[in-house]
Amino acid sequence: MQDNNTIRLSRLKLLVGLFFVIVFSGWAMTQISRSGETKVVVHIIPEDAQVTMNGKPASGGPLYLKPGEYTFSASKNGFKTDTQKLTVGSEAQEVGLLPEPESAEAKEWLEKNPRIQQARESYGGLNANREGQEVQNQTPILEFLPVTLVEDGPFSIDYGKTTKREKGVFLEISDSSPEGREKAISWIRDHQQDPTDLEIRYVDFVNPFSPNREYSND
Amino acid sequence: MTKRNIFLVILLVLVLLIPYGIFSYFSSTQSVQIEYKNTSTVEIKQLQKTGEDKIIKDIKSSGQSVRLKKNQDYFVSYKGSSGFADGKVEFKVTPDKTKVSINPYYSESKLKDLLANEQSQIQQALKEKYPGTIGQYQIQAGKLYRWGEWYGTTLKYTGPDQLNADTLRVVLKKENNTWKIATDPPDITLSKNVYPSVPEDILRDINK
Repeated sequence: MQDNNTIRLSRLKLLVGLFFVIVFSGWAMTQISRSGETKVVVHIIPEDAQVTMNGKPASGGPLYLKPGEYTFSASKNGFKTDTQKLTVGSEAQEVGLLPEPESAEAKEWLEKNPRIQQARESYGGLNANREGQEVQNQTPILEFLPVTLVEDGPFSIDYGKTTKREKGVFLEISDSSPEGREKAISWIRDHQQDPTDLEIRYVDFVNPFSPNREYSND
Repeated sequence: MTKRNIFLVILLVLVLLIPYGIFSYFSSTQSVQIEYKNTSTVEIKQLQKTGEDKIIKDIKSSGQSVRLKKNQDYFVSYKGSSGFADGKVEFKVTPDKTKVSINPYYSESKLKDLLANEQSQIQQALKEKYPGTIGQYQIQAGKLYRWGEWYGTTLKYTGPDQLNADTLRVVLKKENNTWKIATDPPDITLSKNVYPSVPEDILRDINK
């Protein structure tokens, strides 16, 4: 009797050990397959919107993506399709896909669900912060603007959002002479930014090769 | 647990993990073919955070294939033959990156020699595009780029308006044997965002 109990106990221990081995192996395989990937959490409101990632069907929730550029899109009848572009690096991110209600029915649904509206506003803020950070990362000199220098100029540098490029900004150099404009460009270089990477508008310079040119966002 | 059972558990772990590990290793590399011409030494290297870049492989002949890790950044470093520039081509190993082609640009000395023959045509192109206005500027010597089909220079103001006396920059491209303005109008600095069709390295050099 005692021998049977001993055998049963051994088998039980073996099964328990086997269970943990399988669980551990599964976990290890998951970690190996996810190495080099970054966690991106995709929030979708309305939740039953159809989602695509780089044109292919996708789902919301946590995704594990390799670094690169991704375009997410969410669409649903009665709503305006929302598209978000995301640059995935090594840090985890979140993105909100928030199709805007267009039909009367969709608008009524949102009005009747204030908590959903709150969540949309929260994820909208998240998107805005992310886009702002991306612009800042691409144009680090923005941190130092606007600036006006008289003794080491004269020049002023400010910036604005251009509609000619997505997430693009332009720099505007004003209050300047030819010497001031040269110093402004030197100032830009001194702040680790190459003018080649920037759309720069020289407000006080009348370009004789294009005297009627007006800067606009059209 | 008996020694036999412990042994069985360890064996099971090995049976499960080792084949997966081997599969992961082989599926994590990819063959990349290197093609080149007008070069004498070709090496595949990997950037190192400290110290010298690591040489992964010497390429002995054009068309040779090398197995490299997927999603890793490498570069091909090469020395140009006579009249061709040294250089490097950076690439990332991705599923669609199965071939790297090396075709060196002309060397600086060769481009200088070519410029002598192109100078008058270039100046003529600027005069035809900007009759009158160009007369207020001195066209500097400038330089050719790539295989001599790109040209960039500065225009030094010689006119009377001291408030608009900025030195301007302009890039031209030779197409169908004719030089055409690639960055219109000439400007104080040229932006890659405004002129995406002009090679970025040329714009950076002109803007210096």
